Amino acid sequence: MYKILIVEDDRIISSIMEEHLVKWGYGTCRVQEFSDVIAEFAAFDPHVVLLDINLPYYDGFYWCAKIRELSNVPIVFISSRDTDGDKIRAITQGGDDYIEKPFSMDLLTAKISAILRRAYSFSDQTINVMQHKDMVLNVERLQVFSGDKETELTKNECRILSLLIRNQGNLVTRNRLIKALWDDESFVDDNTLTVNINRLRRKLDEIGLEEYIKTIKGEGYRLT
Amino acid sequence: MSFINYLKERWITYLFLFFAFLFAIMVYLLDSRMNIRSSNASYILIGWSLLLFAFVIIDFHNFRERAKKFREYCQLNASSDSAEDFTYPYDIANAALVSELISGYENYRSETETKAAEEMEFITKWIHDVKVPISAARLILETQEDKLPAEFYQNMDAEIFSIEESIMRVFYEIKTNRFFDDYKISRVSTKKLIAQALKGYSNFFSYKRIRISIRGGDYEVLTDEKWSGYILSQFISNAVKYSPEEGSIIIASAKDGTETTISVKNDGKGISDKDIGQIFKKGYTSSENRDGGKATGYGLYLSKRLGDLLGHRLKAESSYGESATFSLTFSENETLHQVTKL
Repeated sequence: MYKILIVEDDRIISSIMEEHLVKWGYGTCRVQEFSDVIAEFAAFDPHVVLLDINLPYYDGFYWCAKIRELSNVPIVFISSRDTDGDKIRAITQGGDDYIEKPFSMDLLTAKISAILRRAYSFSDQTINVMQHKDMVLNVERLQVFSGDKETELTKNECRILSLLIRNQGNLVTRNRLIKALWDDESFVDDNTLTVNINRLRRKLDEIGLEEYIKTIKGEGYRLT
Repeated sequence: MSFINYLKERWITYLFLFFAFLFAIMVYLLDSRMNIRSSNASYILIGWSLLLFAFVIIDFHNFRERAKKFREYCQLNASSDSAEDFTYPYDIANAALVSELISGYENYRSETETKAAEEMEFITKWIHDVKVPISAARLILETQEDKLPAEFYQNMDAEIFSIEESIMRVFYEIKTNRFFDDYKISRVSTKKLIAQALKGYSNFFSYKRIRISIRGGDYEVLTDEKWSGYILSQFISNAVKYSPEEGSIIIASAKDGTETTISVKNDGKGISDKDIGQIFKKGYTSSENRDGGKATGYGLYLSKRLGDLLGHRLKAESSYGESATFSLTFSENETLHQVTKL
């Protein structure tokens, strides 16, 4: 299990992040004592750090530099600061990515899994793989497996399927799917989403995964 | 100081001299018993003329120098020279007055600048602060999405989005006033600009089931990424507001010689001929109804101002009742020239 340290002083935001990340199978720890983030960092030894910039006592840049003295762990800045100056500073001080507030949880989880893949996939091949019943999705190679059969997906289809798998059979609304695809800079509209879903269904049918994606009329989709 | 102005300044002196001269001539002509040889008379006249000529030259020169010195004194903001350096008492008094005015003005200016800087700092901080509860509200809403009625979710989402838009407007408004501190011209791909501008609008495309189509190639333009992105996002925001349910929005990039144009076209009612000339003006809102968001009459005005500062061209076209097209044109040579000129 990958561990994520959340350094965010707004309790509501950090608790929602924690709840989500736990649901998606990550271990999390929220920093409580902002005067000594390093101690909690050292005790928890996370795989990824989510770091806000505006913090009590010291700012995120300071803690980023401190963490870098100890470790090469990926650091993702999450901040309401939106000037180029702040983003450049974040990256040059050792940050790996920068997410601007307000952000969506789908974007955050997508970025975290991408960063985990980049940082740890050499040592851990399972990180690229997601499973739902008999269906196995390799997000890195854009392939779906079922038994000994396999099929190739497009980038969009892969994004849709991974979001459905992550939600473990719960409803994913069309809004949310479209938003997740837009966050990834592929701009699909309602019709295109339907087309993508149908194509994805056909591909799954071909390898014997029939009726895996269920339409909830007027709302969205879920896996069965 | 020209000679004419000098004469206007000295008119009373010359009028006096003229009358004194006239008086002398009259006395000379009227008094037949006055015994003065005509050679002597012309001698006096010539001497007198020479003296007058010398007086005019010296006085004009003197006057011009005084005026020049005083002007220089004022132009140097009365800082280096002291008022005591002037010879004439009237100049000394004026110089003191000017110096007082200037120091008063300098104080006022520095106070205003400090205040403006403080306000700027406050607003920037406030923008960061207010984004925290907004992101929290967004996250709360998002986590409840599958439990909430769709209409409630959409309305809340739209309202939060319009708060975010308003905050961005504050940000860009204060930035336009400080344009020179904060811009970075670089080569940006049109595809990237469009992608940046479209972010955040996904929900409106999905609520109103608007079709989107992105056409044309990917070109490089010279611009500031953030500012141009904002202009395009205003076009998109507008297009989304005016677009009918299940309408379509076409975003196209085209290159023509040295000019690259990104246009955003939406179908719908379009803009009437009488409105189209006003569309970039401050506070201008169409009288017609629109759904999907309130009009502030500020977004396009701000875009136009930003476009002017960057040296890009903004254009609105419409065929009434069918569609409206907004376009942003970058021209290769002009852009750099304009900006460096600033």
